[in-house]
Amino acid sequence: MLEAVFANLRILLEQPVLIGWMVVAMTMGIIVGAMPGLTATMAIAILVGLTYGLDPQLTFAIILSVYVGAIYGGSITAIFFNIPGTASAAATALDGHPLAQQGRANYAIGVTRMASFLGTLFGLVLLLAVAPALAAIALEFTSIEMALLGLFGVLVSGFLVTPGMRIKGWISACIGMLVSLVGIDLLHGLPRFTMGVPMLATGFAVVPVMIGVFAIPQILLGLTGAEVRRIMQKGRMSEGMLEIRHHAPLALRSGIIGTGVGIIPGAGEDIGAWMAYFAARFTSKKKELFGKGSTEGIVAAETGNNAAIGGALIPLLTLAIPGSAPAAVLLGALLLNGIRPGPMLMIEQPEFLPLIGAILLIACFLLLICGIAVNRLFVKALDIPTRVLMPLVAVLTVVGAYAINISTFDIAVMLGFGLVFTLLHVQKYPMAPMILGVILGPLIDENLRRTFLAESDPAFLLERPIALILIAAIALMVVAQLVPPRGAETGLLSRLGLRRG
Amino acid sequence: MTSPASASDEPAEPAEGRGALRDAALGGVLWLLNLAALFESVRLTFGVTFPGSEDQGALIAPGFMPLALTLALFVMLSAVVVSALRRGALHEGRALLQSPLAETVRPLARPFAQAILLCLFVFGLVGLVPFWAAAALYLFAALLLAGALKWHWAALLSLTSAVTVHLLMGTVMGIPLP
Repeated sequence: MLEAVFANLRILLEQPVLIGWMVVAMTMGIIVGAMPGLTATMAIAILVGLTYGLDPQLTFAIILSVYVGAIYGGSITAIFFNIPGTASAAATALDGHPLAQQGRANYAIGVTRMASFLGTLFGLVLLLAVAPALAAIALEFTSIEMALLGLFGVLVSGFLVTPGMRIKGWISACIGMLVSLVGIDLLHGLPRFTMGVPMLATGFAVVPVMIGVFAIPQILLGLTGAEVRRIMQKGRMSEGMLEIRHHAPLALRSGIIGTGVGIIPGAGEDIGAWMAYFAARFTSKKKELFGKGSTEGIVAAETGNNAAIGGALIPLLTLAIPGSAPAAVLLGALLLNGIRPGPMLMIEQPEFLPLIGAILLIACFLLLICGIAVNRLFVKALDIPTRVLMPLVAVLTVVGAYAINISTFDIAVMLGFGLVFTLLHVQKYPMAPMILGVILGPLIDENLRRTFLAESDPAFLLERPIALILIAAIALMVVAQLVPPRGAETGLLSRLGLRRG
Repeated sequence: MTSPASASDEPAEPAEGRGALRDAALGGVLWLLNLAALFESVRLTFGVTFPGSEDQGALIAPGFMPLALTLALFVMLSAVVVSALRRGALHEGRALLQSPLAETVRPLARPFAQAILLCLFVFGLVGLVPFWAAAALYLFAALLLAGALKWHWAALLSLTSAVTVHLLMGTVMGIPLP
C-alpha cells in the first residue's frame, strides 16, 4: 500500500498546476473554516458542482485540500475572537482564546497548526493501514451505543467545562438537546414544539444557533464593556509549532481518539475534538490550566478534529457509510466521478485509496505552509479596538447565518439565540455544552427510540459490553452531580436543601 | 482587545452585585418556560399512539426524550432557584426596589441599546434595503453608540466596510448575501 501511495505522490508532485490548485484550495479552505457560518460541508458541496467535469485526480485534490483546510481554519477565529469558525473548533476556543487574551495568539496558532498537521497525518496513516479492520469495529456500534456515546459526550462536556458550576453546564446541555428536538420527528413524522410555525418544521439549523450563541454575547458585551484593553500579541508561530514535541504522546492519543470517533458513522470531527479534549483533561497533570490557556487542551482538540478526517474516510471508502457531514457530501462527489465506495472498492478500483492517501499527504504539508498570510491578517485584526471590530463581526455573523441555508429565518434564529444566551452567559452558563447538545440531541433521540423499537426487553443490554460501560460512566457522573466529592462544589441535593452542603 | 464573553471564563458563582437575584430571576423564567415544555412533552409522550407498537408505548413516543430532558431541567432549575434564594436573592431584590431607578437602569442602557440596534439591523433593514446599505447604516450607528470613533471616521469606515463585504463576499466569493 505504501509503495502505491508514494508512486502516486511522485505523479502528483510532477504536476505543478495541480499543486498550485491545492495551494489555492487549502488557503480558501482555511478562510472558509475561519468564517463563522461557512462550513467545510458547505464548501465541499459547492465544490462538487464546480469541479464536475474536471479530471478526478484534480477534483479530489481540490476537495480534500478544502476539507483539511476548513477543519483547521475553524480554530483561527476560535483563538482570536472566541467564535469558532466551525463546530469542530468549539473545543479549541476553550483554551485557544485565553492564550490570545494573554498575548500568545501566535503561539496558539502555531500549536494548532502543528496539531492539525499531526492529526491529519495520523488519520491518514490509520486510513491506509487498518481501514477495513477498523470499519468492522465501527459497525459494532449499534443504535444503543450511538445514543449512549452521544449522551455521554454531552454530559461530560457540561461536567468538565464548568468544574465550579457543573449544574449550569448540564442545564446548558439539556437546553441544547431540547432545542435540537424542535421540528418534525423523523421517526414518526409528528411535529414537536413547532407551535404551528411552518418555519420551525425543519427545526433549528445548528450553524446559526452556534454563531448566535458564541458571537452575539461577544459582540454585545465587547461593545459595552467598561474596560477596553488592547492586548499586543507577542511571540512567533514557530514557538508553538516546536512546542508540540513536548506533547507527542498526547497528540498520538488524541489522534487515536479522533480517528476512532471519526470512524463511527455520524459522529464527525466535532465529537472527535471534544472526546480528545475531555480525555486530555481527565489525564492531565495540569488540570487547573484547562480553560485558562492550556497547550494540552488545544493540542488534543486540534489533533482530534483533524484526525477525524481520516477516520471519517475509512467507513466512507470501505463501507460507503460517511463518518461525518463533510464525508457525506464527499460521497456525492465520489459517485459523481464514477467511484463506487464500498467493500468492492479495493478490488474494482485498487488505485483509488493510494491516490487519496497521496493527496492527503500533500494536503498535510500544505497545511503547514498555506494560510500564513491568513493568520497574519487575523493577528493584525486583534490590534483593532474591540468597539470598532465588534460591529464588523456582527455584520459577518449575519452573512454567515444567512449563507448556510440562504434563509432570513436563520438570521433571526442566530440573533434570538444570541440574545437569550447573552443573559445566560452573564450568569455563567457555559456555551459549549449547549452547542454539543444541539449537535448530538437528534442522534441521541433517534437512536434511543430506535433501540426501544427493536428491543422491548432491557436484558439485551447484557449482551452489549460497550453499552454497559457507557451506562456505568453516565451513572457515575450523575452520582458525582448529586453528591460531589469532599471539597468540591455544592451538589444538587445540597442546593435543593435536601443535604448539608 | 477585550473578551468579556470568553467560553473559558472562570466558572464561579456570580457573587458580585446582584448575582443571586439575577440567578433566581433567570432560573425562574427558565423554570416557567420549561414547565410549558414539560406539559407539551407529556402530551407528546402519552397523548399519541402508534399502531403495532403498543408494547413499547411511551419509550418510542416523540415526547420521550423531551420528557426526560424537561424533568431533568425541572430538578436542576429548581436547585438553581432554591440555591439563589438561600444566597439572599430576596434581600437583594428588596435592596433593588429601594435604590434609585437611574442607578439601576444606567448600567443596562448601553447593552440594551446595542441589542436594539442589532435587532433593527436584522429585522428592520436586512431584506428591506440592499445589504451593503443595511450594513453601512448599522455599522455607523453601532460605532457612534459605542463611542468608538468620531462621526466622520465612523461614516467612512462603515461605508468602506459594507462595500468591501458586498464586493468580496457577494461578488468575488459568490456567497449569497441577504
